[in-house]
Amino acid sequence: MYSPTVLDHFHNPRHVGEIPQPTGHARLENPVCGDVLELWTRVGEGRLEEVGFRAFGCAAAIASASMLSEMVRGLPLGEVLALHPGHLIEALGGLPASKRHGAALALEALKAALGPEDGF
Amino acid sequence: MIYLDHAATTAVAPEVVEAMLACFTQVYANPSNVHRPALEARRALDRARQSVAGNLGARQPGEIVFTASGTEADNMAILGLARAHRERGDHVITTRIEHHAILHACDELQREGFRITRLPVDEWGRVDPQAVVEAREPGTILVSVMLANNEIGTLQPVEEIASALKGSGILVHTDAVQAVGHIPVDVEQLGVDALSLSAHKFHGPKGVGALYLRSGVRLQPLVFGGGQERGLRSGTENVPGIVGLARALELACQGREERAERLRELRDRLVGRILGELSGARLTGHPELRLPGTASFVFQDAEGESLLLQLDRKGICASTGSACSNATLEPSHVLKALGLPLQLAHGSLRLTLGRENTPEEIDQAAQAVVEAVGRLRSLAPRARS
Repeated sequence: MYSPTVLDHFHNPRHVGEIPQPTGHARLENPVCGDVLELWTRVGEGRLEEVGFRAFGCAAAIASASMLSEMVRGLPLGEVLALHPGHLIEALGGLPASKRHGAALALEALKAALGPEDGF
Repeated sequence: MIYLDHAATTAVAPEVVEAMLACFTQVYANPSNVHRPALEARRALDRARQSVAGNLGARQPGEIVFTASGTEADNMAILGLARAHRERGDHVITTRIEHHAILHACDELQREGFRITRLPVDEWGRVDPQAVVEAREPGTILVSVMLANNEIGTLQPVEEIASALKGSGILVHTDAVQAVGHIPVDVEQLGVDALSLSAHKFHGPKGVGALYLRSGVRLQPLVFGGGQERGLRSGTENVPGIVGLARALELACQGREERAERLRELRDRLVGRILGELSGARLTGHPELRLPGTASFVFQDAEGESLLLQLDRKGICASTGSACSNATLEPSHVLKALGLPLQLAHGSLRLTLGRENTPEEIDQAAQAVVEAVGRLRSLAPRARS
């Protein structure tokens, strides 16, 4: 049901936890399936320098956050903001149809963590 | 591999395979014919029917109708009994934690104009027999309450319900798919009019089930054709499957109490270790009135499907009723009916034990669950202060 890449990121998630000196933070919840994703970002000189996350949810949710954190590290903000859930799903080697919301939540949380301060 | 998913299905017992093999290659004739090989097949069928009737406490072998699954037996009972008794009424009572084979058949009845009452259960998953009695209406024709729940193992007071409805003319059906072969099941003692079972839940083959239907109770068939099974279920009889079902039930009934006692001990050991070592963990279902081999839990901050994948990597086969494991993305109707907070319902795990599990396996499984929950919690967002 899951690709080897998804299973790898699920069993060995990258960039788990809070990062030093974050410049952004977001915590999003999918009210339907109950997934919760928390992200910390640090932006410097127009680039996303570092991302850390914590996730509660199914393998797709955890693997999406992990893969996304790999993909966007060091990217110019313009490129990060242009990312689409399809890019993430492709990088994961595909996701079952009922699990694609995991990738959407990860991107949504990342964009929220790059947005205006949320009182962090 | 440590297999702890016996409520999903079981391995076919070697004695059952042996009994079935002859029916594939030697006793393969169609039992409806009159030649000698056909009569031999008919005899095998009759013996199987007698054996099943005897092991369920039925008065006559003819009260056993073989089907292609437990689901078909459930569908037959709900649709077939309600439709056959439509002239007497249009109201059916069931519970919110039945298997989908019952609930979706009730949905179908509703589309046909029947009225369905789906009774709530308490926090342990038990339905109150008094609530069943009070739900009766002038048009009530059928009550269906499962004997044991597939997700949480809770046993229902079916005997009390049937006894309270005795003489009312209301038919009582029980879905005993999870119960048969594991706890004592006697149709006369239960006092039910119909009872469903499935062979693969007690080390029989898949693709065969049975409906006990009390003699004299009318039922409208779902499958039409050659008139097999007293016209109640047409189609050439699945002789290997039926013989396998009967043999599996014989084996399950022999020494059942000793096996159940052993399973209860192993289950309590598993539950004790998991609840003893993990905070934010809860047993679901009734603490005592439950199937001997069923241990079911909810965990804070550890999602069910993720738990299954963690356990699978450690060689342990389990199940979950949590949201992410199904297409609707919602927790199972059973977990919702228990009134569990959604957050907890997302972390459900079912471990169902069987005759081949050893104490060493149980200890390994408990350790694996503790580690898997701990691992997922290490990834989860911290509680908001």
